[in-house]
Amino acid sequence: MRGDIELKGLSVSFGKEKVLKKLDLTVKEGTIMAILGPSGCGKSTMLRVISGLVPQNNGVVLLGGKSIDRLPPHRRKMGFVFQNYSLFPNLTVSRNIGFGMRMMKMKRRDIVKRVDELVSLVGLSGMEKKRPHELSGGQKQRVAIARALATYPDVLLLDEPFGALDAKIRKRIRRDLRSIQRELGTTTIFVTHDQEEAFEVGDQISVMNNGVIEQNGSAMDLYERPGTEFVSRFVGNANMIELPGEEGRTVMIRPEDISLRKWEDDDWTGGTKGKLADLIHLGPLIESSVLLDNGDTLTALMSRSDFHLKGLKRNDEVRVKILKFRSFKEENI
Amino acid sequence: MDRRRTLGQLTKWSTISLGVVLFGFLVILPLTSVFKFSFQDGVGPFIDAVTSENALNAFKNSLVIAGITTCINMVVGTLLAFAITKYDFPGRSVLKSLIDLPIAIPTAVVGLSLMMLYGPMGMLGPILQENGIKVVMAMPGVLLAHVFVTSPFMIRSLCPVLEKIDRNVEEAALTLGANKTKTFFFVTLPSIRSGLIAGSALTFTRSLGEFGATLFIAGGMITTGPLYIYYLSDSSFDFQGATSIAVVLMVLPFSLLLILNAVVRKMEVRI
Ligand SMILES: Nc1ncnc2c1ncn2[C@@H]1O[C@H](COP(=O)(O)OP(=O)(O)O)[C@@H](O)[C@H]1O
Ligand SMILES: [Mg+2]
Repeated sequence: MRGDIELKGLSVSFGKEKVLKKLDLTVKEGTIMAILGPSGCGKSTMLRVISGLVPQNNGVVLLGGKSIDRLPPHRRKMGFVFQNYSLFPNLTVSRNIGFGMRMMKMKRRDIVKRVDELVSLVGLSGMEKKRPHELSGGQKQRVAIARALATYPDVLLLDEPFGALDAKIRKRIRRDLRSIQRELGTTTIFVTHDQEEAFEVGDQISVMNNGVIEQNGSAMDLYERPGTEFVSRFVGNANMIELPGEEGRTVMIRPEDISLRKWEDDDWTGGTKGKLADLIHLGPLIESSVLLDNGDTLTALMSRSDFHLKGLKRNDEVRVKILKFRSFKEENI
Repeated sequence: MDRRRTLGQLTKWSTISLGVVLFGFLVILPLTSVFKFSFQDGVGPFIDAVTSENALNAFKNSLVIAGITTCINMVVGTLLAFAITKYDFPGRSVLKSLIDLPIAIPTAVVGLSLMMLYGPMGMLGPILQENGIKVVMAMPGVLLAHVFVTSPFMIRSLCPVLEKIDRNVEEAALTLGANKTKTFFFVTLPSIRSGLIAGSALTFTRSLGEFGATLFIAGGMITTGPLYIYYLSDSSFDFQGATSIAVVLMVLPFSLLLILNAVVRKMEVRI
C-alpha cells in the first residue's frame, strides 16, 4: 500500500562493529509496529536510518514501494520522538508544537488552529505558554508527540519514549498514544525493551536481537509459538530443561504449563517427583520453585485458588507434570 | 559544645576579615588612588583630559580594535569550539590543551613573535610588503595581536555550552523539516547565545586593556587607551591626565561586564 514502510537488507556498521545485519522489516500502513529488543541490539540505529539521520552501508528503505534513501532527513516527513524528550528549551509548548509547520511555511492562521487541535489531542490544554523546564516528564513527552505529529508525518518513530517515566504515568500515556494513533491512523514504529509495553502498544511485534529481527508476529504468536530460545526468554518467562529420559534434548516450558499436585494424591500417576522449594506471591498468582530429583529447578505458575484447592504447602513433595513444551531444533542448545 | 561553636565563629570571621583586608590593600587601594589623583584638581581638569583630541582618538582606536577583535573571535572562536566539542579527530586533545596557550604566554612575547613573522626580517613580512600589505606598525598587526591574546576567552566560554547541547534536539529539528542552516540558526545558536555573549564581553574588555603586545607591534604608530596612559605618564609626566584616562578605562569595561553578566544570567534562567 501507499504508506507501507519496508526495510530490506539493511546493514549499518560503526567502524568494525556491525550494528544492523541485513535487517528486514515491513510495517503496514496505519498500524503500530512494536520493536522489542534488549539495549544495544540496534533499535535506535534502525530508527535513525529510517529518518535519514544515519546513512546505511547497505540495503534500502522503502515508503509505499519507493526508495527514500536519497532524501535528507528534513525532507523525509518522519516524526521522531526521542527518549529524552529533546524539546527546544527556549520555546514555549505552542511554539515547540508549531516548529515543523513554521519550517514548512504554513499560514499563521492554520498553524494556530492546528496547534490548538494538537494541544487538546495530547491533553495539554492550558499549558500552551509554558516552557519545557516547567513541565513534568510525562507532559514533555506529550509535547514531543504532538510536535512530531503536527506536520502529518508519513511515519511516526518513537524511540523508547516512555523509558524515563515512572510506571503509573507510563501506563496512562501508553493508552493515550494508542488512542491518538487510532484516531489519526499514522503508521507508527514504537521501540522498547519492555515486553509488557510492546504487547500493549503494538498491533504487531518484532523481536530484535543483535542487529536482526528474530521473529515477527502478534503477541499471541510470539508468546505461544516463539521461534527461537531468545524470543521465548525475552517474551515472558521460560524454563529451559532437558526432558527427563530424553538426554540431549532441551525444551522450553512456560511456567503456566506446569501442573503440580501433592505426591501422595493417588488419582494421579506418572510425572516426575520434586520438592516445592520456594513460593513467591504475585497477588492472584503464585510462582513456585520446584526442585526436581535430578537437581534441575523449574518455575511453575498457578492461580492462588488452584494452589489452595490442591492443598499445597512449601516443602511438600509434589508430582510435576508438563502440559506443553517447545523445542528449538534449529538451534544447537 | 558552646566553646567549640564560638571557636568556629571566630575562625569564620577572622578568615573573612583577613581576606577583605588583603584584597582591599592589594586591589582596591591602588585603584582608589587612581580615582583620587584624577579628581584632585576637581572635575574640570578630568573632563578636559578625557575629551582632549588625543584622548578621544585613543578611545576611538581602542573601541574600534576591541570591536573588530570581538567580531573576528566570534567566527574563529566558534569554529574552533565546534571543532573541539563536536568532532573527534587526531590531535584533538593536543589542540584542546593548546587553547589556553595565549593566556600563559607573556604579551611581550606575543608581540615579539608577530614581529618575527610579519616584520621586515620575518618569513611573511617581505612577501606581504611586496604586495602592499603592511602588518607591523599598522592595524592588521594590532588586530592579529589582539585576536591572539583574546582567543582563549571566546573558546572557553563556548565549549561548556556546546557540550551541553543535546544532539537529539538538533536532530529533532532536522526531522521536523529544518535543513542544516535553519537548524543552526533556530536551534544551535539560541542554545549557545549565552556563551557567545559572555565570550564576547571577555574578549572586548581584554582587548580594551591590552598593552604589551600592542606596544611591541604598533607602539608610536597606533595609540590605544592603555598606550596613551603610558605615553602621558612616561614621557609627559602628566599624571593627572594619565589617571583620568585610567578612570575611564576602568569604569567602562567594568560596567560593560556587569551589564552583560546580568543579561546572560537572565537568559540562562529562561532556558
Ligand atoms: N554513532 C555511533 N557511533 C558508534 N557506535 C554507535 C553509534 N550509534 C550506535 N552505536 C553502537 O551501536 C550499537 C547499537 O546501538 P543502538 O542502536 O543505540 O542500540 P539500542 O537502541 O537497541 O540500545 C551500540 O553498541 C552502540 O554503541
Ligand atoms: Mg536506543
